[in-house]
Amino acid sequence: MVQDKKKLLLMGKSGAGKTSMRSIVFANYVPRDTERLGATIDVERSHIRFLGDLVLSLWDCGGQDSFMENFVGAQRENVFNGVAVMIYVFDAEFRQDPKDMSYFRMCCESIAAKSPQCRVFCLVHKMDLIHEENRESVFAEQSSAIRRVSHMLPVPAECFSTSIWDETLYRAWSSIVCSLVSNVSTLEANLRALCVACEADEVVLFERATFLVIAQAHTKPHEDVHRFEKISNIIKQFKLSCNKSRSQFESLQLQNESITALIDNFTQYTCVMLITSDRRARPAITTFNVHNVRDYFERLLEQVLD
Amino acid sequence: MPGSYDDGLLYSDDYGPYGESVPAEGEAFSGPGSFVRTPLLLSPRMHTPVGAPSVLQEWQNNSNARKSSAPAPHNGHGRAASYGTHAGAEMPPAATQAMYLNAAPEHGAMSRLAEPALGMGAAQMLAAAAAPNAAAASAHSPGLTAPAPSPAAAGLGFLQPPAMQQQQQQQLQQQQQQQLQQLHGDAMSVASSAAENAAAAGTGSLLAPRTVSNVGRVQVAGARNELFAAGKKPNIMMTGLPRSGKTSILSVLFQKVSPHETLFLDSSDKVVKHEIENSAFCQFQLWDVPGVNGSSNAANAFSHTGASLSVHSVVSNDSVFSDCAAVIFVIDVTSEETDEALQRLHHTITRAVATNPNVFIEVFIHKADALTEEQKVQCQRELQGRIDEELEEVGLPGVSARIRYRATSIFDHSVYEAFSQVVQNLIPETHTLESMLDFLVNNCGMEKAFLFDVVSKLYVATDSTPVHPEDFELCSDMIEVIIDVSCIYDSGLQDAARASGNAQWSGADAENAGTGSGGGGNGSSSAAAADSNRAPPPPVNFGYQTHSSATIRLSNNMVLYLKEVSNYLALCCIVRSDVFDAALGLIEYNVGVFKEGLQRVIQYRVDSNR
Repeated sequence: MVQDKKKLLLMGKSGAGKTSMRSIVFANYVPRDTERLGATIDVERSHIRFLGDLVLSLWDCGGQDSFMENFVGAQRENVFNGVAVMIYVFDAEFRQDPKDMSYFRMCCESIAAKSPQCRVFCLVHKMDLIHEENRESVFAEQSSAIRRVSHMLPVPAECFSTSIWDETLYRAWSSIVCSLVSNVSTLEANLRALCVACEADEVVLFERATFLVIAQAHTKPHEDVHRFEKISNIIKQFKLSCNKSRSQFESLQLQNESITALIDNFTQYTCVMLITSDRRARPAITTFNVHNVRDYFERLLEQVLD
Repeated sequence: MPGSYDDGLLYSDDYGPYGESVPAEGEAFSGPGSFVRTPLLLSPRMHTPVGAPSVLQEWQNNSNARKSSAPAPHNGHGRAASYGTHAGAEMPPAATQAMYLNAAPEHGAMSRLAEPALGMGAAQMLAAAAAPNAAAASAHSPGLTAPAPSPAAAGLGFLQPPAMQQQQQQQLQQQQQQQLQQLHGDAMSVASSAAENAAAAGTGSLLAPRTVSNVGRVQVAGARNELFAAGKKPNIMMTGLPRSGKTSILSVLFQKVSPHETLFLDSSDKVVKHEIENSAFCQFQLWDVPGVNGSSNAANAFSHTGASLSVHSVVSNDSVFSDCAAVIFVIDVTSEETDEALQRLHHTITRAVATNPNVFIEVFIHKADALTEEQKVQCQRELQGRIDEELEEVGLPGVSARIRYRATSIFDHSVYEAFSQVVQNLIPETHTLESMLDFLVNNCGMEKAFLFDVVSKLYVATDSTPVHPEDFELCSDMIEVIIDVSCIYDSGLQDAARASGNAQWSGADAENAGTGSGGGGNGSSSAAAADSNRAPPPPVNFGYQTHSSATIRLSNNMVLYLKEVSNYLALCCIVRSDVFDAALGLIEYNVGVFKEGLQRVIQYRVDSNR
């Protein structure tokens, strides 16, 4: 069953970091390597297969003024028709740029007219360049400015503060792709059952190539709400270093005094992580259980994505 | 959800745990008819025999390899599942063995090991192996080397898989005979010499064949002994031109500053002393001696004329070099000032060698990420050629052989590797550790083993096979993954880790502030010759704790196995997955033996320092 492609627009001022983040999330770039990327000319379209059947058509739109004017002008039909998600990237350092806001307003107007169902995500990017104590206030200020401008959108815009140097990038992109997977709640209900059966603290499902979080279930609360994105970031870095030695990461098992963690390839396109703090639980049996539910989840994912 | 899975029942039919939980929320699964057949799940804590198929599987893999008579009703995971489904009703013959495993869950590894070991008729091996590690023991009490030359005793208590034993037995026995003779010989010499010297005994007893053949090494070991006799930590001095990257290297290695943030470091203008106290083998003082800025010529930095600057007062004093066990000179390859750097390097070498003939001189060809592999080699050759020439002119040709050149960059692992080797030179037990690791690697069929200091991610020892940079990178990255993941989930520890992170940051800030005020020329602290910046001791819980172990599997059939062996010391091994799966129990056991030996080596160091 061939699915419709989901169209994602990646927009923002020139040099905001659109191509950099795309390369890191989908093309396995090391953050440092993004320095070499040149400016994007016009639109670079790429097709990304996500979770097997979900095809993302990512339009990386060049941010120079001439291109932007072209997008909201002559090419408006072409660019803004049938968009599932628009991601607008703001540079945290140049957030006061009035031109940027006016382009964003025009984009929002076009979206509201052409693709009313589209969800809009605004990323306040390059947060690492802002001093740590100011980050929150900068982000609050910028997101209220975004809200003022984007009030005409049928679905209100969501804002994230991001940086390619830490896990915030994964947090934002996990939310973006999760918005495209329709039945996350079904998936989470099943993960919860697995979590209970394995007597685990929590179970998290990651997409295998990007290591973005798709769904999670937990039985014990944990104070750090961003832990999964951190894990994404950690494992992604490790995967890159595996690639250097021409091998691929398959599984990790960790035991220390407080927890047993298992990260394993799961279905064809996903990885799963189980965290157990019960000292009596045997990793061998947890692994066995994970192997056993593999086929079930394979079919479940197919149905969820239909 | 169904109440409990502790009842030992298996939910294998259509109305298993999934059957009851899914329809509530899942629209896609509205009726029982459309259910995907539910998977079989086991409670991970089940103590009934059926709970053990996968353990059993492992055991069977082991035993099949050794005992063809073992009942082997199933193999492969798919079959194991089907076995589980009817195990509740009837008990296949193998299940009794599974029960045996379950009966002693804490000793799972041991019981798995015990069976094959007994199968190959090595009961005495186990018994002998239970005796303390012969290698380390010999250094302390000569009496322990006395027992009859049973293979196990000579083999340092490591067990071998049977297949390997057959292949290597002969060869090993020869080796072991040699070693035993050596052990006896040394034991006597140790007993006869009244002054027991830690390092000499430690390295001599194990590695006598090699150390004897290499006179230079013996001398070096002697020099080290003096260093350690006083119970003093070795000093490492870092120097080089301004902006060559000295402080960056140190902050990346020891303060966990991420490499791209070092761009913002100010250039230091005072000597900063760092105390590094991580694991037992990673203890030293680091002197960050800044290059002197501006027009002053190279020699000026070391002359008495510029004594107004604190750097000069420290560096001008020859005693600095007599205290240093190693001098690291950092050269920035991207800089235009190569001539000046070389002049300074030359000066540093002659002075250092004149004051302390045993000093290790290391040249870091830094910022090498800007170069290709070929350029690195070429650059190193050029530098080395010029320095050799100059040293020959001054009449110090012998010194050039003692200088090590290493291409480094903070953006990859090269700086870790280079610094690891610098540190290894300063560890008197290096050869003992290396041969212990050799025995471990040979007896377990491993590819490579590293002993890591987990705090700094430097490796303090490795086996004698050559180090491939990729292997080191993988192991180093694995440690990072393990620490990061542990830190996230040890909620109690998380605060501690965060606090320590802050402490390190504030330490770095204080340092920056210090240099800032020094730059003003009237900093109150600049009067002090050296600003002692004591790096905070490692936090009590580093997210990495005793009993940590981890396994990472890679697609190229390699397994990375990490095991905590002492405080902040982790053994990181690369093993082929077939070997790993067949001999996990063996590996665990031998790592335990290694751990015990290591404790003795450390204990000996502690005692002799006292």
